[in-house]
Amino acid sequence: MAHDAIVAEELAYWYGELVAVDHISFRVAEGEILGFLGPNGAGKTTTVKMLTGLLRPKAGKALLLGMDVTKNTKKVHEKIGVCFEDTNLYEQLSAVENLRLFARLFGRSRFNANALLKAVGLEGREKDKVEAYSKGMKRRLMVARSLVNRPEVLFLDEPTAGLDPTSAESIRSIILKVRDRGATILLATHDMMEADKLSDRIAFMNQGKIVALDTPHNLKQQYGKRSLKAKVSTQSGELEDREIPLDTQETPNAISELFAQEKVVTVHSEEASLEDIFIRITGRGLVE
Amino acid sequence: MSLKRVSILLRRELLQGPKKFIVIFAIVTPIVLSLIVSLIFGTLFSEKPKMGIVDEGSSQLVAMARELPSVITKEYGTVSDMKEAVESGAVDMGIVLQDDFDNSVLQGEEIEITAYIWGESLAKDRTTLGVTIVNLIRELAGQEAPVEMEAITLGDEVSIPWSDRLLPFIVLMTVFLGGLFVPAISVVNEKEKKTLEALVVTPTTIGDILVAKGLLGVILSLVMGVVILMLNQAFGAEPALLMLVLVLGAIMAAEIGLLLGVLVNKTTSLFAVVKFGGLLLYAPAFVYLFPQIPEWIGRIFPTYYAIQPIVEISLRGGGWPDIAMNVFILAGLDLVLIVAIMLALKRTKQYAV
Amino acid sequence: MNLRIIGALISKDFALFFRNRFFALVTVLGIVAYTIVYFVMPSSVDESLKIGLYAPVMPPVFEQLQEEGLEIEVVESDEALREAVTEGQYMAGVALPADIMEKLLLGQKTQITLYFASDTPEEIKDAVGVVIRELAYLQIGQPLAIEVSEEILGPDMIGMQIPPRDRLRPLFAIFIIMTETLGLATLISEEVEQRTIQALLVTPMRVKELFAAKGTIGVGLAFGQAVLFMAIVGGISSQPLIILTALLLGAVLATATAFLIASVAKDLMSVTAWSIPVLIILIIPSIGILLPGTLTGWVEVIPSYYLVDTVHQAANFGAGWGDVWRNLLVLLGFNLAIVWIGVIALRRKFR
Repeated sequence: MAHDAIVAEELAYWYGELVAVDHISFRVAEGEILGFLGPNGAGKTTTVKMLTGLLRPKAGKALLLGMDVTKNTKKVHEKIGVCFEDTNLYEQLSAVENLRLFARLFGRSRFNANALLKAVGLEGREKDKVEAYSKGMKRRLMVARSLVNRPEVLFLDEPTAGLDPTSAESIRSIILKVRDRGATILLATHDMMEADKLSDRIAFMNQGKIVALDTPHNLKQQYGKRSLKAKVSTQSGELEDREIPLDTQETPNAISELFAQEKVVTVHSEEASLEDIFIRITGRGLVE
Repeated sequence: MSLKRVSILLRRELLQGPKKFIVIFAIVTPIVLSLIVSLIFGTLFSEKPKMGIVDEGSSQLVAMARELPSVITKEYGTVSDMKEAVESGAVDMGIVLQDDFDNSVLQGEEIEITAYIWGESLAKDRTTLGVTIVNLIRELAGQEAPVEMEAITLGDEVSIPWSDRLLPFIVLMTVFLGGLFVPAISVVNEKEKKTLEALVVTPTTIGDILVAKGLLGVILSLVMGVVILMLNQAFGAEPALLMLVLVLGAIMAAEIGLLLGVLVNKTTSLFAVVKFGGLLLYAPAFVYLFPQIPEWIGRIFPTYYAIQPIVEISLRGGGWPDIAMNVFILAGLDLVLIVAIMLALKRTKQYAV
Repeated sequence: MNLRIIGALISKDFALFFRNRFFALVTVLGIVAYTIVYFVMPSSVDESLKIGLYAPVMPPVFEQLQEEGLEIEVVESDEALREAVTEGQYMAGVALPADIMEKLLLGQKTQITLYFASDTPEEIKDAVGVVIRELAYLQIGQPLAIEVSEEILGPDMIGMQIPPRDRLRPLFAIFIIMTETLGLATLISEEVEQRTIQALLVTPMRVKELFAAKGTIGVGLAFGQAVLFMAIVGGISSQPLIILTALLLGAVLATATAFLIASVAKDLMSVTAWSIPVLIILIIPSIGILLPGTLTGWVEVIPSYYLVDTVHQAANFGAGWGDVWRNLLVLLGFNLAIVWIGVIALRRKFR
């Protein structure tokens, strides 16, 4: 049975009057990817900061690999990697120098920076100063840095934000490789497609609370509505949309009527997206 | 280039300016440094010996000493205060005048005076003060000097007091601190924060932006230049000419600042360049600080052509014929700097002009 | 404390410091500039009033005159005297008339001509006049019933005066040290501004190791530069151990001040805004060395006073441990206090 790599119990944090994280609890098993999905300001980054020891929770407890984060912060830090939302590299140093610095901090004496840079697609640019890198390259270096110590738990905060599809896809494949070697990953994002693709389970976060936590499939099953979408041609030759919810008693008759009375051009079934589910649950979108 | 857009940008710079540290710095620093530098150099190189007196009676000697132009006289209430002053070097020598000193002198009585001497005082100061005190006592005693002195000055040069020698340095610093630093930092800041990019993708050209920032520098530089000259009572007899030179000098300062702003990308680098470049900017001022340095050395530096006319008008009472050549050179340098800025923009491939 | 971690951080900061070529170059050039200024300034103090004298008939008092601070040289002719004064050989020229002795003996006033170069300060002209007048009084034997006794306060430096450039040495050294305050405070505030501090905080690095690294680099750079400068200008030849100790404590003071500034500053501009008034305050005690007597007791509340005074006393007067131990102790006390406050303030900021 997999042990829990991350345990959050009634975690809370507030900035003055503003409650950023409102007594949330969850567990992440070893080797699992948990996606934290929510709009900006939902409390994802604050949660990550509490779990990584950057913020001391105002209430509740966080355990990483069985260790209390507050009491054993530095021991925890030896085992985790963090890729922050904001790029925070030493821009005047090269990629290799950035990685080697952190390798030394982690006590990795035989560290092959070039191999790691190759793995994230930065070979050939190792010795260039980071300030000359593009946004996508910097994000890849950020991910590489978070992997310097071969962490057992990896925190990724918006790892692909603002990236082109190619760069984003390359980072996702790196994430999956890290999971495949046994690491536990907490992925905070507002990109529902990314969460859907990568996460074993997803926690919907809104206004500091976890409003739903399950596998993507179960969430869609529980909250999503399947429908039949069709395009029909009118008498004037224009195309119009038709939608028939599936899984209702009226569904068979509705479909029969559609085909009998309309000139159907195309038809396909559709699952609800995570964004639709999120809207359904919270009444707001993931991106506002 | 659009004057309307320049004026919009300038208005923004003027409104935001007073909130920026560097603008306040450029206003306050010249005034403060003007006072400090005058104090340090004016006193450090002053040749006047300093005498302290404790008058236990009401001797006329104190008043007589105060009138002497060649000695600085300070009066102290107690002997211990005066000894403390001597020991710290506030005065070179201190004497105590006993009660009824004047009468004793007039009566020809034997008087004992102890002179407390600062160990670090120069030999010539000790001699001068000793002889001066004796002279004053003789004067008090009504003795008539057996000689008259006729002083003849040889040579053409004018003795320049230190406060005047410092003026070019202070004016240069004032004009260039605000005129150069403010536009330079403004441009670099906008580059770092990428707000410059946001501006140039509007109808605003890079030229509009640089002119607006340059104008702020010129205005600040000009105002502070006038303030400093007034503070030092150095406006001279040709204020209009002086203003012309100040304007051209302010333009040069702003242009150098803009050039730096175009070439340098980070604030740390800008600070470093200015720290070093300051030596080149202020070098001509040293020609005036130390007259033994030949004047031709000052001519190597562009700022010479800004400062020389100011010195000529303020300190030497010169007029247009004395400064015309240098003013033309200054105007020429201003034009050259405009070209340099345009070339720099092209070279760094930043924004079409 | 993990030395490996501290070493990694020091290497990084060292690389960053010199990676900015302008910054590094200017730091070097700063030392070069101060050194040049030092060597350009006069290396000795002219203590005497040099006077040329032309006297067809030499009055005995003038001939027998031996006074410290007065050098009178006899010149062959009036022409030669004027030439010598114009060329700057003498501060003043005194031409006595041929009939001076006759007139003095008859109790008649006689006229003496004084020659001055056009750039002679007024006070020198007056001083020469006073001296010549007094010599004339002595020549006619006019008595004055005063007995003057002298008491020298402080070490008597006649013949061993401290040149202005040596008075400037403590000022330059403290300037070099304190300028590093700006550099170090910038390094720290950039870590916060660029958020690299967050990246460091999620590694095994502890905050005290960060402080140790920043402190080491700050003290190392400030101390190294100051020692280099003082060594070049001969400031360590007298009492080297005392001077090195004082400079080291000064470097610690600069580093602690940098911590304090970095704790309140947000970015490079605010670092500069805070640094400049702090630097001005710390430099004030040096003015007391340049202008003795200008500053009174209040200057002793400024920590750098104890640094400047120690360096000045040791370098220029050869003061020993017995003379300066109090200064060093007070400086150490200030350092401990400011380091403690700076670390607490900065730690709060990192949280």
